[in-house]
Amino acid sequence: MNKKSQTYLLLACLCFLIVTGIFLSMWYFVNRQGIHFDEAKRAIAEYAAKEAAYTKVQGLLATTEKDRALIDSFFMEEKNIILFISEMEKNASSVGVKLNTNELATVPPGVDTAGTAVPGVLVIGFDFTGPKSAVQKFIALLENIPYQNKITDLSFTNVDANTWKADTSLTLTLRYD
Amino acid sequence: MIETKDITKMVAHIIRRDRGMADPLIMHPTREWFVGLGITTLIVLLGSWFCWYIYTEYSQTINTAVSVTEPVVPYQAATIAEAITIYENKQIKYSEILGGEVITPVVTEMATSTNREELSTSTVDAPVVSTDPAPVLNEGGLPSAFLAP
Repeated sequence: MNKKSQTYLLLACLCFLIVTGIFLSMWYFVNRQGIHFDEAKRAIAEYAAKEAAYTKVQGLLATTEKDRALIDSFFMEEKNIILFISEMEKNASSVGVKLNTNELATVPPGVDTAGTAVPGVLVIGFDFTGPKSAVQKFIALLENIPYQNKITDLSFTNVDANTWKADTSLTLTLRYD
Repeated sequence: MIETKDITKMVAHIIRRDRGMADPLIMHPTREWFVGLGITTLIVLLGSWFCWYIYTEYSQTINTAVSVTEPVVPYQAATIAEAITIYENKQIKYSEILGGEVITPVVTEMATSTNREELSTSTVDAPVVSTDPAPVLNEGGLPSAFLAP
């Protein structure tokens, strides 16, 4: 191989390397742009999903507003405790029993041993005396208090032939806004 | 007379290898030109195919609409309706026991949704006011609610 041929070979190799380099760098840039494009597309999808969720929750809140207000009213508020006791006393006299509130305590919301959230409750104890039918009627009344409640204890004592005494304890779930 | 030695020499002469340069090693300018042209054409074709492949791939990706996964918002409409019915019944019984005016809701519209599956469109009829007397204790017994868990 003469010197001229060697020069041509060298030039050809150089050109090949330059062209290969340009090709590889362009390939790299195109791929990088593709990766950026995919990331942008994913971000758009996430944003659109969040927006859809937001719209959905908003719609849900709007459509369930009445129900939520109604359900809220089934839970006792701390500010209404005295009002509730007054109403029970009024109801007791209208039913025909003598009512005495012997216990009143609030338990704030917390977390039980299993890690479950426990709502705050109002613990209220009543004892009431009166004729048997009146006592029965008042128990039925307590049973149907339109609040989320639970009668935890109930006992009866026959005071005399016409008078019965009942001792009860109930818990009402409190609502904190 | 031809001896074995002469025959061996003749055979060796016939089958002996050419010790010169083999033909593929000899430069043929026309052949090299066409080989170079062929390789260049192959590279150009492969490059074109690759460019076309990338172009079509990204064109399709761009034209594909962004798929949005619709989030599911859990809402137990049936449980809510049931709870409301239970408490409305309690409210009615409470009013009945007191002998007060019983509110008779004709229809209570519950959660309504037209485009959400989990929000079932439902209209729940309010419970009819019972004409039964107020629940009272059995003789010497407890009301059923006290016995319930």
